Amino acid sequence: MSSDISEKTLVALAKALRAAKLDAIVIGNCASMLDGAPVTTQDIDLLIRDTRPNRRKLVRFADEIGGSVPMPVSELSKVEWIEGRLAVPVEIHYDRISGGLTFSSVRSRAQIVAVGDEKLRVAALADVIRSKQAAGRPKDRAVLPILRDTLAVKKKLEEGM
Amino acid sequence: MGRRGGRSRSAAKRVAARRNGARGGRPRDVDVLARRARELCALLAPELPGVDPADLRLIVRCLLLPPARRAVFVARRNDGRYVF
Repeated sequence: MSSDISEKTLVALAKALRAAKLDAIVIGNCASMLDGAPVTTQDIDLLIRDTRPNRRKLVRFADEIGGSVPMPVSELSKVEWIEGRLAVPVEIHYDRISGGLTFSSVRSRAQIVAVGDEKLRVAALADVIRSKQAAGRPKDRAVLPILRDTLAVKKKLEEGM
Repeated sequence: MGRRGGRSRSAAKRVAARRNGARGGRPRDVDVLARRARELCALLAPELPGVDPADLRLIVRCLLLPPARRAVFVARRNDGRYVF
């Protein structure tokens, strides 16, 4: 069951995104959790378009969560991270993620999820699985079985079990 | 003395729960959630023989919760310990 910290973190994230008017999609294991998979994570991954207005909005978003300006995760990667007042850091991915998934394609299948009085755009579980399959790191491979099982259960429920 | 999850609503337990920062008493919908999860698992298990029954219970339980309550972040505190 979620802790109070986790719920407050999601609400604060959604509020900050709304205040910054930043069109972001929750991806990674945070999306898996919101899609119903029984997993945990130590960060929040967001996918955004890499545009000049979005870079400005990202600075505003970082300010809203009491964070630093986005910093590169490494020299080899375009991914950036923000350490702020949220319980966990936020990682920002630009334009595309593993599995050949673009912002537009992920957004087209994402769902709007209510957290408190706020809303978050969350990647579809099938997209999270595809991206983790393609990334193929040990931590991605470790979580794939439970994500696939969750997707199978969701499909059965949607079929009207 | 504290919040033990029972049905008893003694004054001492209520006071202890408030001191612990909890609302006190048994979570109101806990029986409903448990029963609904059990019923769904019984329906789904024959349809999904490849899914481990314990995993199925966890998945069904998560899906029955509102999205905001599904999330569990593991946060590292300044003293190096991890909290949920």
